[in-house]
Amino acid sequence: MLGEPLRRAWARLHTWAGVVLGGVLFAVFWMGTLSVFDHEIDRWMMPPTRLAAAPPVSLDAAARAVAALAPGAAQWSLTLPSARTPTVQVRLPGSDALLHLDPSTFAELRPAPTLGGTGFIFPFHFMLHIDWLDLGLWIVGLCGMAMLVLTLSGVLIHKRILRDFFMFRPRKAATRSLLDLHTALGVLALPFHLVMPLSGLVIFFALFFPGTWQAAFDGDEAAFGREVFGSYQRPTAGAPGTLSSLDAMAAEAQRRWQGGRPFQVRLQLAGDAASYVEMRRAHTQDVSMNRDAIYFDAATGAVLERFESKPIGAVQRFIAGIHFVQFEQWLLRWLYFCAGLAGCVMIATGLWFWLESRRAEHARRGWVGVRLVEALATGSVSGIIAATLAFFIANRCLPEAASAWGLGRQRLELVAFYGVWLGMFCHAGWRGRAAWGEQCAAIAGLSCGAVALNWITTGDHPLRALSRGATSVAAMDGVLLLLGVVCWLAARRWRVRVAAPEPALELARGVVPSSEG
Amino acid sequence: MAEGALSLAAFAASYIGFALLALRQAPHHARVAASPRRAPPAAAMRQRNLWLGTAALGASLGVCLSSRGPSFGAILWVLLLAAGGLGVTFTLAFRPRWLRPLQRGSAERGSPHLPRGATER
Repeated sequence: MLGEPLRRAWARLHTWAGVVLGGVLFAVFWMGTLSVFDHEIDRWMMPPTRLAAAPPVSLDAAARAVAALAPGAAQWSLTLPSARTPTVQVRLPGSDALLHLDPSTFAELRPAPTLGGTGFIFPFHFMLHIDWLDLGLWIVGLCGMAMLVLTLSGVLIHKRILRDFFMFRPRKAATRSLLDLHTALGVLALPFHLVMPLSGLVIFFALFFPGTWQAAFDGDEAAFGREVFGSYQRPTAGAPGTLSSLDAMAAEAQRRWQGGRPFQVRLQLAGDAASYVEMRRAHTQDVSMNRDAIYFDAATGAVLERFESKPIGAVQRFIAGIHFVQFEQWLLRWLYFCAGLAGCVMIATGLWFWLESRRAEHARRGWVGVRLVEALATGSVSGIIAATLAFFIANRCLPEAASAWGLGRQRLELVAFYGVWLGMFCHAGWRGRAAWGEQCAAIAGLSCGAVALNWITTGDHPLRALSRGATSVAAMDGVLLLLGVVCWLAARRWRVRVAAPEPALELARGVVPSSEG
Repeated sequence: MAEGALSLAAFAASYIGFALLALRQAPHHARVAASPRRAPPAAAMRQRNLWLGTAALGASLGVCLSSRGPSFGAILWVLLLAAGGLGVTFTLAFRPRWLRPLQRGSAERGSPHLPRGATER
């Protein structure tokens, strides 16, 4: 099929792209996997918002509550409660903060300041929180491209892809079983590993492939924005105006969308005669993350404009929808989560295979390669997991008014995350091979600690959370406990392995061995 | 609830389909039989498993599409294929004997009794 020299070249590409980018790829995969449940993580990290499923909300009543909250605000937007976020969320001008209102009383719920899953974990997934020059976005874009190359080259260099389709030999030498697991996860979840980076790149097409829209719109960014985002605007009239029933507008929108419900309402030019209302359609029922919107005249409730994506835009929204999983399909959500974890394990086993297959040779020749890569790999695999848990624990430990070094509570949670992550890298550099097991033990302790702290600080042990309808909290506790058990077992197993190291396989450098170990 | 049961059936069909395909391969065949000296799978059995396994995977697709519509169904099927395939991989690695009924059903008696439950759902 593939000539031997060509196969070796592909293998070298696979090996070195994997070693160089594996750590960042793992971070992106790990945070992406957690982002599947970002709203559920928000519930866990913002205890006052852990409400049972919300009753239907009257938009008019909600609008009165918002007006009382911010009298005279020229514009505001509110997001209706959903199965995943049971609160009314309000965004007021001049503030980045999202306010949460109780959907039955419209009283403001005041969770202690935190970025939570949607504010920290999800943006980390696609931009690594590096704002400067959009560098974070570009690094993740590069990783997406690299993931495509790695997946395809992995298939090309796999000599016996069909014969080894179901092959996993856990009792053989470490190199053999790691490579088996790496290829089994890579091949069996291949569609997922291809679709995720590809759809991720398509989401940011305007940034990564600016030539596409610049050519089509002659570089006219405004025209591009109008056609893709449908941003309707009109100038102020300068005369006072009124706001008619939002519920009636929502009913009209629902009729025009043939049952599709609005999930977000935005009032522009409030109090002006030219004031208008934008209603955006929910993403819960389809794969596509539509940009459907209807604009109403605020005073009369008449429809001003209806926006729907054009065919190519609609395809882009469908592909984005596959990536964003905003639809309400719980089985699919859990399967995405598991597939994401499988991707994490695939990346980690790839890195481990590189280390195990070179350990003996590098030690004999006195090279630092394995030591260096091992420290980086440990820090970026088990290190980021421990750091994420430290983020959760800081959220449960820090008092509401905490501040230190001029940083507020929200920032201190990030200090915990980055501090522990850095600490894990240092630990990995110091302890070498033993660090894997020690960090696994740390993860086991931290995840059980997070569950215990959640119980102590909120009274919500998993069973209580379940019985009062806060399923997301119970599920997160359950996953944390499971992670703890798995990592504890892994730590024990690692200790045994380090105590009795196995002879490494004889491998040609940079070449994946044939399947018989 | 019915949707959940159908998804479970789709997963079962994907698992059984992959298991039948895996049993076409000599090392897995021997492992499930727990005897290294067992003769490699006969050509007729390999052929039968190929058809039955493919049919089971197809049935899984059918169940997904009919219960969740084309777009959700297609995504669900792809993910269930991965889940079924990994399930078979881990079963073969840790509990190969669990697949013995499939081996007997398709190799010796020659009656395709297992996938039927899955394909008719």
